[in-house]
Amino acid sequence: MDNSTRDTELLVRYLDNELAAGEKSALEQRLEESAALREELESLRLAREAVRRFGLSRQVKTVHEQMKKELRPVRKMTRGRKFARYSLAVAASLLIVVIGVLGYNFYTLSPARVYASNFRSYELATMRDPGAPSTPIETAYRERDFQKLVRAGKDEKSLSPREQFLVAMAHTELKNYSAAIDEFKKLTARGGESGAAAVMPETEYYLALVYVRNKDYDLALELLHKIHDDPSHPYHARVSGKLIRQVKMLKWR
Amino acid sequence: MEAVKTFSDAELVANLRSGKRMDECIGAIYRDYFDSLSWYVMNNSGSRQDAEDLFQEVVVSFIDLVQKDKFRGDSSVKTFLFSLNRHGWLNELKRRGRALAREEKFEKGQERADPGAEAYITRREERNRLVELIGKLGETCKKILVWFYYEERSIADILKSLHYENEQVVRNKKSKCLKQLAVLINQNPALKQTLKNILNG
Repeated sequence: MDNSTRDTELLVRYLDNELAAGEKSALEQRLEESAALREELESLRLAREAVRRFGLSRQVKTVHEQMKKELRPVRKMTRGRKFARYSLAVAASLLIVVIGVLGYNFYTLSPARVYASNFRSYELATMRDPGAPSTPIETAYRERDFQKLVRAGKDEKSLSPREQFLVAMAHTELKNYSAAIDEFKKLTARGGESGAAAVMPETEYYLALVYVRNKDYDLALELLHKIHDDPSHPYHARVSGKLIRQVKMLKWR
Repeated sequence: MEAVKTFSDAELVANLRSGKRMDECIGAIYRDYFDSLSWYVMNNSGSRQDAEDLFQEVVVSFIDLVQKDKFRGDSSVKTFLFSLNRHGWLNELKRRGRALAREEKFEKGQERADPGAEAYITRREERNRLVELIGKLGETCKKILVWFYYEERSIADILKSLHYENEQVVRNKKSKCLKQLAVLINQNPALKQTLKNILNG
């Protein structure tokens, strides 16, 4: 055995941790002194690392071949599939948001809410003739003294259509919805009388709202449809499709 | 039907470190992570074959790091494997000259699970070269080296399988084979450098 082979065996035994203490310290002494010996040790160490890596790779490869049969193939996502997936995700998200909003609105919808969001106090000035004297009922309405107005309405033997409308509005403001409905209906029955036509559009509108508040949805819808379908009706703009849908939803609940 | 064993991160790492139940652990890694890691490669310009090759190398590198106590457990096994896979694939794309600008941008904003861990991922050519070199040793050398250094079988055990005269003959043969492999590696500077990186981390 030549010196080179003997050194290789010694270095391999050193790597394998098989040297006796004396042999080990002697070799370490020589390693300090010889760059060539250090280089050979490094090469053998790399060779050992290569064997370990090879063994591990081979074992993983063997399991890999077994697993290929077990695992389903991963489908590559094409650009079209990606686009379709993202579009579907966006559409689904929007649908969830829409359903959520509709659900929330449906859940929180109430006759009081629909009424409150559509009711605005009637402006008396719009029906007064310039220069005409104010009646006690008109004065009470302008002063928003609705109790006084209702009392005055009871005392008055014959109310003009305009005064009767104000009495109905006073009951509405006082939240006496049944009484308001009665007054509005009396006024509707006087449709042929002089002056009644002038207050009929507002009568229909406010009666419809009071019907909603009083949960008389069919009667409310009849009036609302009439106003909504007639573009020349003075209250046409106030009766939106949304309002009609809300009343229908209230009816379904 | 045989029940499929699953492992917690701690069990997996402990088994891999000790070399016990290796096939079961490697199988569990495949079941848990192969689909998602392959999906990443295949949706970033890679083929099915690329994904399989890289996954094998990711598993090899991970086990190697665990056995060298270089997996510190700062991140989960999942995060660590994803990191190895991503870096390995980005390096492969760069090597092919097809680096994705978007990916590079993404890369800059990412915190690495283990900086430098991607150095353990060897390229396909180098892996093939290693197989080729060990193949050149001949079947007996290959068996002795793998049994002793990877499977950690004793010389006495190897002697029984190979029918040599005595243990010393097996030892001499082993030294000779290792020396032969060292010479072959010295003739392949790229592979030698990769092995140095793996060894010295």
